[in-house]
Amino acid sequence: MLPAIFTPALLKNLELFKMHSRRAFLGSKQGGHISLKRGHGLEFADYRRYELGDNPRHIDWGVYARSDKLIVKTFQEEQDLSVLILIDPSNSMRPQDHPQKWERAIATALALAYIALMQQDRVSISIPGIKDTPFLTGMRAIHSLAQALSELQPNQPADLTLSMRSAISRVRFPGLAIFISDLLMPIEQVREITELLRAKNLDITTIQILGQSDITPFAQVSDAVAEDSETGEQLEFSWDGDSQTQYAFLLNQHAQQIRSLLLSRGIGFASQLTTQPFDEFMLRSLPATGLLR
Amino acid sequence: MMGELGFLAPALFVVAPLGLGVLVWVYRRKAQGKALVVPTLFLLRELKRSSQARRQFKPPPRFFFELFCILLLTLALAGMYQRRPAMRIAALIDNSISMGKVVGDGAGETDLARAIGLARSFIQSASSDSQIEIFVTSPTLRSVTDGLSSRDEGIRKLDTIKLAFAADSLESALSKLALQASYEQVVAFTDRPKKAKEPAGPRVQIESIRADANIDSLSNIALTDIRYLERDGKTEIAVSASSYATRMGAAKVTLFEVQQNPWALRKVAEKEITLPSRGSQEILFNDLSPQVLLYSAKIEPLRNGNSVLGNALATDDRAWIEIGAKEHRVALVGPLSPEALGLNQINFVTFEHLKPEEFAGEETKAANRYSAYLFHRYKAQGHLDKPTLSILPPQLANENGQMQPLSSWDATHPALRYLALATLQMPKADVLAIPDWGSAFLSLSSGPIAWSGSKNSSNYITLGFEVLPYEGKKSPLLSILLLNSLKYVLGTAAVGGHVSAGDLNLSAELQFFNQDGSAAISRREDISPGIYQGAETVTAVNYFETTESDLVGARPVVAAERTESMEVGARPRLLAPALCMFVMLLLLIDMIIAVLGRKRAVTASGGPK
Repeated sequence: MLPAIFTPALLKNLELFKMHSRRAFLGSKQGGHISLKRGHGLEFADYRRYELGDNPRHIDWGVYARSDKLIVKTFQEEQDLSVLILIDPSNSMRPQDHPQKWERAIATALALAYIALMQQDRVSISIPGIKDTPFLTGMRAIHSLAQALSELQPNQPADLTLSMRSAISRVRFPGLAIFISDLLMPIEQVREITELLRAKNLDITTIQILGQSDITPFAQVSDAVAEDSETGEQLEFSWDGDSQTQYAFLLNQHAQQIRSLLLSRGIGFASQLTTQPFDEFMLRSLPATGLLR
Repeated sequence: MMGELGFLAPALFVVAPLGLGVLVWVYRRKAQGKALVVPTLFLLRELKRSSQARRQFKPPPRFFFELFCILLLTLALAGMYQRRPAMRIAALIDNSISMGKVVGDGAGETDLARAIGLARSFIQSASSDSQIEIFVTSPTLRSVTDGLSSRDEGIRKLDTIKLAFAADSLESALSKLALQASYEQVVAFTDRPKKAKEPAGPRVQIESIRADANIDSLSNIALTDIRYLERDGKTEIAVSASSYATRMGAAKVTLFEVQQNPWALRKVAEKEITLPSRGSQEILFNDLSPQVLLYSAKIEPLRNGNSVLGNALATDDRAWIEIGAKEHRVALVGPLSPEALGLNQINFVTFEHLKPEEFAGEETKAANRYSAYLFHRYKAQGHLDKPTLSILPPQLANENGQMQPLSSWDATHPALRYLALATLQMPKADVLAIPDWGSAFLSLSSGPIAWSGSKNSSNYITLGFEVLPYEGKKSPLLSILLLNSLKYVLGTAAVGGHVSAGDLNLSAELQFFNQDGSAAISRREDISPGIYQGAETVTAVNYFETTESDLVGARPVVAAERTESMEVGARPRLLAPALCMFVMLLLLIDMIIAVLGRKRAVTASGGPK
């Protein structure tokens, strides 16, 4: 059962989109994406000499008439696409009393899976260290995925990079990789994770989700003790007007650094706030990144 | 007048910084609340690094209110008091024998030590420029500081005070000090209870260290008399034992013979007795060896079932006696016989009755037979060259007084030893004419009623009031006066084979025999019961004083009447109760404001009205 946020209108609109890879990949079966495999497709790929065994229907008779040579047209075969959706399992994805970020991450993953499954793509949703669904196809799989994710909660892995490595190791066919995270981690760690994904020759898109508690950790101006949801470490400091301004600056600076890093490596990047309407993000913001068309 | 402030326990000021620390900690915790879980700290850590210097504690106004309350409570805890302005203070320490008792949980501390401690605290609480003079009551009123001294000197001198084997004579000492205008305040430290209602006026202050909470702890047993009797050529010793307890109990009285060269005690006999509550019993030891001249008796409580008589005062448990002490023969000249006047009860003197008409012809003949004369309502013709005690000589009387209070007396006169004369009213006293070699020691406002003098090595006392018949305990004041007067004219303190401590005339060659065979004495105040050895003589010294031994029924101190009004400072005012009350008032107001504020908030929000 899909979450309530998936209204019939939203589903109808999602069906209009399809996943778009910036690169062609070999698929496992016929699908809706141009593949590296030459074969029976609609997209013209190249000319080549006729060889025994070629389908005579692909002979370009006009070239033969002009040059008396048997030339056949080759087409790019359209195959399915492997879509691996990775959700950051860190505790920061679900701070105490603030489930919106985690819920938004699950919803985003399911929405992307829905779009992919609509095109007969193979989809796997992975929460490293917690749950790895197999690559599924067919519209019915969306319910299996929704069921699998419905009861899951973040559980801080001892080593996020290691868990990511384990999750990625299941990928046999290169394809799309979508990493959903708040990206509230050091730049080095973001770089490390993206390197892992690139090593698998995946077309990567990173979706950052930030909650209100990420923008304003403390509601009141006072001295405060903050406890890290991931490590349990506590930190005392004074939360006042100056701190808030400076925190906003640091947060923005961090986002800029990540964006620069990702874009410089050809990695798609989209960011959403939990306060932003979900359908607006899915139908407007995300297509703008080129992931959906 | 605002006196300087002081603190009884300034070390407790350490509570203030502790309290401040706790308060700040509580406020910081309160401001922080419980730790707030944030997604990640790595941005906040950056933030802290850049804003470390700015972090500071900004307490709300309520913090200062609570800090103020803590400071007030700290002041109260430190025993804040208001010192009196500089004063001249006479501190009178009761060092009588009863102050040697050890009661309660004082861990062996005597009442004298406790009284000195109390006096030390009192003097320390006086302003630093106050002048202090410290007195002891016993054996006579004596200044320890030799005049007014500084506060610190007074405190130092407190340590020199020792227990004296004498009664306290507290009333007379207080009266005498109260009459001196040089002291703005007289404070007595004693074990005697205060009178329930003190007379108005703060000039004389009684600080009683008596603990009535456990009256049984004040129970005491004592030997109250020892005397020897000769019957059929054999020596017998009679010992009187008294109990000052609220219940009866058993005791053991042991008689020792005192051996000389070397000194030693050897047990001769012991008897077990049962002493009634607040009663006495006489124990007779007979068939004693005529060769032994010195004896000692000792009383100690015995276990009687589960109960043991209390014995708070150990110093009155022993008695000493010298057999064969010199006997005094006194001629009683007057119309009544010694038996009629009760004089036969006085066992250290043998009275022989001479009627006035018999005496007229016997004057010269009798001169060598008697140690002294006692003229009762009779005046001899001319001057007798013999020690003489005259009681109510009619010829000398020139004026009659009735029930008048004494206006003055010489407290140091031996005839007035142990007497509390402050409240004494003399019944029908005649004012006396005094020869030029005599001096008055008791006077009414109308004139002298008792005088004494010495002439040709003989002592003379004349009393202008009746002290006979001798009634012993029934009329203790007059009885003591009579005995003192007799001893004075006889020139001896020996009574029935022993001398009272304080009456012993110390000389350089006299040494105190203690059971460990040592302890030379040097001061009159140090005389304690025991055997004193001179060059050729030994003297047994005892101290029997029921008023000192009776700790349960101790008489309350009656402060002398004030004859003049004088503005004096009150005792140091402890401010702790006032500070605590003030803090409680503040907290009450705070609570009311908080409750009203909450009610208003509920009403404003549409809650129940």
